[in-house]
Amino acid sequence: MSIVSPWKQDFPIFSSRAQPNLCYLDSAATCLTPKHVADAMLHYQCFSHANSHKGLYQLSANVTEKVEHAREKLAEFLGAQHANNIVFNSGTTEALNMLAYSYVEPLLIKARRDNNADQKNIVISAAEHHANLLPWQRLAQQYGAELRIVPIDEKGQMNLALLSTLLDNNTLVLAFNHCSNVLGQFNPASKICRIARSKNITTIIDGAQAVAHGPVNVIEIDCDFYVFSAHKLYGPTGCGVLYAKGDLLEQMRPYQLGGGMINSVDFNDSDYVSGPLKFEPGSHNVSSIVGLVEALDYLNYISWPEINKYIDNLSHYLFKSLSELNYFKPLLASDIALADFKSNKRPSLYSFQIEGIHCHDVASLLDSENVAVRAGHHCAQPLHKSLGVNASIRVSLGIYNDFSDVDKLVNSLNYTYQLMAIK
Amino acid sequence: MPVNSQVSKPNDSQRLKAKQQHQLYQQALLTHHKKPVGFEKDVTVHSEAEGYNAACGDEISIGIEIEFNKVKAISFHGDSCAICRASASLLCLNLPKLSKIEAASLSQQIVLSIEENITVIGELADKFSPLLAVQQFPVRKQCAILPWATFSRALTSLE
Repeated sequence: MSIVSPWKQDFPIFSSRAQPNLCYLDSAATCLTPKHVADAMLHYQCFSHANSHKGLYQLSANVTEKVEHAREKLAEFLGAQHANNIVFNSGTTEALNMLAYSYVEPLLIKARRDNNADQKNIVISAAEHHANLLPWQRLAQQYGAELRIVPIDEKGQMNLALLSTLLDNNTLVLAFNHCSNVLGQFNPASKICRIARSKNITTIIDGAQAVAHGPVNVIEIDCDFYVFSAHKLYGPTGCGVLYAKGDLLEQMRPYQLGGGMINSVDFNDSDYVSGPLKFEPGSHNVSSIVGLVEALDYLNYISWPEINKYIDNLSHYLFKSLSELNYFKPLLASDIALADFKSNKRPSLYSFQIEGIHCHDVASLLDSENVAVRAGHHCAQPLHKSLGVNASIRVSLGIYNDFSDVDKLVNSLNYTYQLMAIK
Repeated sequence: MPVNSQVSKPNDSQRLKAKQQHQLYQQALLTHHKKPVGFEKDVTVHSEAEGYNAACGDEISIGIEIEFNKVKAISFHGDSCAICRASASLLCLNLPKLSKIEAASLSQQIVLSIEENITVIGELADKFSPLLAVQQFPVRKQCAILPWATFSRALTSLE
């Protein structure tokens, strides 16, 4: 296997006129864009753009076909039963807020009418991104329901024994991440959904970080909802996907109201269309949808086994290199995490601290060496607090990274430590 | 290290970037970071305030001891970045012996000069120039301001 990324040249940001020396280690925040994706979006916008699902002319019909074709591609990527199970939106955050409003809140409204809203609960894990915490927290506060938090175990995964005790007849929904944006660990989604299913509890999976590892099989996982963003998959920002099982979309009230989502309207009432269009009012973000499809085609062309083998190898080198630094403090005990990696999927991101240096200073000094990492709480403040820290440095890999990036990171960390550490 | 790994040489803009960052972490500031004045100092706290920087997780607590309407001593606690620590250290070094009004005024002046990139001259420049280098680094301004804003809140609560 090559130790220099064979795909780096596909990313124009590394060209000599842009950032040839950029060491980008923040793909968990957003992936850089391959030329194929940027070109496809530009080509669409320049030569094919029209409003989808509305015009009666050929140009519009072609765009409608593009969007519906994209829905089929996404259904295939997620292993969904049908393209009608796929809703396009602006990203994971919107999808989770939509589910809170469209699916869970009506259940709480009904419970309030029955005078038992305060007995209801919503369950999430302790390792959630704020996007999968705040919508539930607000709902719980509004209706006097309980927000239950499942702790994580020493491997950084949801504690399944405690999960079982927290789910009960009054649980409205279980929302959890497929892969943590801080710890990089995959939750055993199928097992978790099986536990929830045995108690008739709806499951929502935040797949934002997991999709970078390849296609998902929502049928096998047996979740009710699965959401992710295109830009975590080398696609554009402003585009996301929601999968809803079976006819769940029909049970949900629309999130936003506008054009293209009705059968008929008068001044007194409206009749909404069924299926995904009920949740896609207004004009579709077609260029971003085109970009997402192109990203999927690009990654499929490389082949997912090839990508995962490459990232796995690089991830191993990264973790080994970091572990050898005597000032490296991983958020999870490294011996436990390492042992688990041998039998589990290896994370493509690591969060850690440097002994005696604040994370913000580390990120600033790495930036001075053109090494881009994330520092802070990564929109997972409660998780950091539960791990006993305020902040961490997160390093995450993409297909453009190679061994030289890891070496550069380590050299820059050594320099930072020499300059800044309080010993 | 793998034999085939390729590390590109830095270009001019990167060298400039690195040099600028080093200006931020200049020696004077690093000295305050590594040996901060007032850090976890034992003072009789008459007023205290806590400050938090959500962007990077800086947490600081400032305690003020007052005697005869003047700031007698200041201490700070917490987990914060080098810029925040050094800023707090400069605060603890320079504000004691000032009257409450003088301390509030100086504190406001420092915050304003950082926020608005206002050049200071004379004694202020001598005392605070290492800190004011942060003017060139917008994302780090909030780190430098946090101790001063927290101090101001602690001072106000005395009234």
